[in-house]
Amino acid sequence: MIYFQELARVVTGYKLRQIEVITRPLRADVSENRFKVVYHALKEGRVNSFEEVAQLLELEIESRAFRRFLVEFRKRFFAPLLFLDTASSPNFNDTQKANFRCQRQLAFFKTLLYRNCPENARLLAENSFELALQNDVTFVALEFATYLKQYYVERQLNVEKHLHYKALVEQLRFNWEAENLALGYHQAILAPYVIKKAIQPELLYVSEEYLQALEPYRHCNTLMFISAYYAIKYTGEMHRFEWSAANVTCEEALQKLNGKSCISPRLLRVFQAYHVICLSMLDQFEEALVLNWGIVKTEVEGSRNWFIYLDNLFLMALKGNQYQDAGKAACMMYQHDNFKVMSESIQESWNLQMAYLILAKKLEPNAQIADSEVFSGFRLNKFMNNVPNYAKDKKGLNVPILIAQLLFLLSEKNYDLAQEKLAALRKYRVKHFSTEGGSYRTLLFVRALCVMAGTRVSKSIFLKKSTPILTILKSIPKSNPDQHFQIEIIPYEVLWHWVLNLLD
Amino acid sequence: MEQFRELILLLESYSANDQIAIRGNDNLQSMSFNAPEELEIAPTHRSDDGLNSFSVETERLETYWKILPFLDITQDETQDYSRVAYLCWQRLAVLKTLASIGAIKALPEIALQLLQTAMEYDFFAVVIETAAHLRQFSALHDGQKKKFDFYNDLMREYQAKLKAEQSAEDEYQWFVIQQLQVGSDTQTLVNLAQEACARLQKSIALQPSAAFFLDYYFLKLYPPFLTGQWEEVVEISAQAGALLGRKKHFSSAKLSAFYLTKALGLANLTRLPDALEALSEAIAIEPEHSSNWYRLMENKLIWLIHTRQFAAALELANSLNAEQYTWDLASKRMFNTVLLFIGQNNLLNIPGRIKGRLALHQYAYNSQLILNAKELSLDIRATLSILALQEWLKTKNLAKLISWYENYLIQSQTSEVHAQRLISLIDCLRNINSGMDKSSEVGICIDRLKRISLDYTSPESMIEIIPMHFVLELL
Repeated sequence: MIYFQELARVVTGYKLRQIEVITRPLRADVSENRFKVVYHALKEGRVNSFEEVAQLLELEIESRAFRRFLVEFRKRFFAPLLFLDTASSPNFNDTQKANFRCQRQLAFFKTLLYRNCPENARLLAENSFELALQNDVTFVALEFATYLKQYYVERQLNVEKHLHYKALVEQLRFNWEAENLALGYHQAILAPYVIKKAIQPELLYVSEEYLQALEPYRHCNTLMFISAYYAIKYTGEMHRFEWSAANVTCEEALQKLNGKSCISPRLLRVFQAYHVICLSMLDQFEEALVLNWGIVKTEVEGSRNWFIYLDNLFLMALKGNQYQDAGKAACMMYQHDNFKVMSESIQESWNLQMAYLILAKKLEPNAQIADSEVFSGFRLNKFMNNVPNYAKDKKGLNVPILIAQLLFLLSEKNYDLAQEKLAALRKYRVKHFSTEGGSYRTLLFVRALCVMAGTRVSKSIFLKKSTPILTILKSIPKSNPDQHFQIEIIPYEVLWHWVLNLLD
Repeated sequence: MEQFRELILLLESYSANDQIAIRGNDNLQSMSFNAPEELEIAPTHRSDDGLNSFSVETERLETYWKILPFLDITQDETQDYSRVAYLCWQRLAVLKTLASIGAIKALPEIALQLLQTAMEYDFFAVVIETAAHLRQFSALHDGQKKKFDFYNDLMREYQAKLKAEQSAEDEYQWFVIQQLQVGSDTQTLVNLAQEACARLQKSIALQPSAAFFLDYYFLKLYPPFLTGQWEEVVEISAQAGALLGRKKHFSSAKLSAFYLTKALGLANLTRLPDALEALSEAIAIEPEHSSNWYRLMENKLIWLIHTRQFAAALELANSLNAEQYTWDLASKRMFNTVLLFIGQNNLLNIPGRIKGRLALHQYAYNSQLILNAKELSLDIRATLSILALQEWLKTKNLAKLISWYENYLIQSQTSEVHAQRLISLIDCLRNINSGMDKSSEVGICIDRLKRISLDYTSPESMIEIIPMHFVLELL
């Protein structure tokens, strides 16, 4: 009875009559409020800009009234957004669905609490706690348990229950701290690589430090912690260019995640994607591509991760000379509406790989890449503008950009410009690369290209002078290059053949 | 505009509208909620412990819980601390949903606004969770290490503050449990509270939240409270009130606790007029009609009666009687009975109309049978018996009343001071019962009672809503 009494004080008839739900359909012969009208106008595409919204409302766009309207309009979105039907969507797995539900329940719980309905809050917390706990929604479980711990000492004394929740709170606080710490460390070592792929040796030591710092938390067995911990470990192996060890780390992580009672296919996909990279670097391209297509198919189409996995597939297909797959991935990405809203780093990565795919289409006789408008829009000048961040990544992705540029110039038989580019490339190599500085395969290939600098561009000269360099290059296994795996987009041995063919 | 479009797309793709149409009720606006009527007929299937045993009602309740986010949409968002608090938590849920779905256009702006508000209002957990999203966004979407570091540092700072808050909460709850343990002696409790305060002292430098100070000052108050150092209680309460009052955003309702302790301290120093002033400050900041508000109002009623401000007490009781919200029936009946008694004894002129209202809810105290009325609590029966003293003293046989009081002293957990006062009364009754002069015995008893100050440590358990010597003086 107390539950309804509490609510009766809050949910009054007057308040119910004031409720506005902008997402509800417009009713005929009813003068609807302007928030609802604008919502539906936007939904139906009748207005497409702030100017048009202002016009619809008969307000000046610069006016205070219009600015106030926008603030209020934004507020009207929050309550309906708590009711997105994620439960029946095929886009989400059970763990994600539980997560969505827990977040919502937490919002209702806090609303009840701050609206002075402590008994309702207690009931909700007790009913939802297990769901949060079973699905590793640590923060939500912690908030529920914290309240219940307090409730059973400050509102209704029950020492046994208080102590029960106290123990849970302690465990959950520990887990939450461990998760935040591990996620922070993971992001700290990923962030530098988002727009820069040059070797950052300090990150190797940092990742080792982070793993050590996480050692006291190792018995935290939540999805978040396991995934962040193993992702750091994987990144460390990647920095050591130990792809076999990285592969073992992926397998360990997958085993741990699969052993959980709440399975997170989303997190499994992350490690499967890492596994794909390992397989590719170990020259097991076929297996890698099959696995990568599987990951893409199970991810929510158009989501950030979907693009990342496609980008991964695109790169691995190019590395493995599987141009048909690369072409297919490129079309899927480029033709998706959400592509334009993806971060610059994803778009730049695609633009760069796209340049190599187009080179493959031009220069590789057996590429069998289907024609698409995606490829016809490519322009070399535009390409340079589309990779502004990576162009600054001097010891990283700027190298494949310069190589691609040179190959395009050679393919257009623009030897004058190609010579300028070669001279610049030689200076660039001297300035940014040394034998001890890592990226040895890249250094050798740039050196091989530069043999044409300052001389007549001829196949025989190139062949004669570059072959010894290529021999050394071939002796360095692809699986163990001391450079970021994204730098050598197509194996240099293949590119060397393309140059050779271009000089025919 | 892109952000609005993204949100609209989400709302339409994930059929939010169907979810809002709770249980097929197409028109939320016209949904009726006649809770007070339903309260009488709602089936309850609560088990003894009152927990999860009534799923049918939980489902019904859930439909109302889902309405809550839609209420008061037109109200100012920053007016009230509690409103800001639950809106922040609702927005955090939205933020997390958007992040999980990958709605990245709207996410940063919502997160930044939420972070700003949560920091302003000291909602540490919300700050940490929001900063975690912004940290992730900076690292993985923008690759901006500087921004990442900023949010990472912010998280660390607020994690330390939250830890301080959690420690204070743990210490306070642990102390409360120790206090309620049977056999816990005062000195041990004093030591426990002092040790807890010493442990928390180091966290003050972290500029923790008002919640921390609330627990900290409660613990600090306990030793003087338990040992009856009332000047110290008044001083610490004033300190806490001033510190928390300076907090820009804070649930003012919590402040009332310290005004109350200050008032109790003053009352125990026999400075009842000052105590009443402090109590009025506490009442002013409590949400009207909350259980605490009623509790404080009842305190005020008692203190007005104790300071013989009967007219003011009547006015207050009359207003409480007139409230459409429920004042606890037992309390209502108790205070009405006391005031009617005061009126009957010509200490106060109660207009007929008001008298009628008070008489609607009162106890029939002037019957000796009240002592056996098992449906009433011991304390209520004790209070009523004081009002019935006049009737009892008219009779020749006081043995029954004496025996009842003796039994009451054994069974109740009344304070030592109140027990002493009751023992004085029992002695008086016993002497009268053995044939000694009634008026001189009553006179001696009044003198004795005047010398034993009332204990205001726990006013809600006070049986002397009207002091015994007031009643005896009427004889």
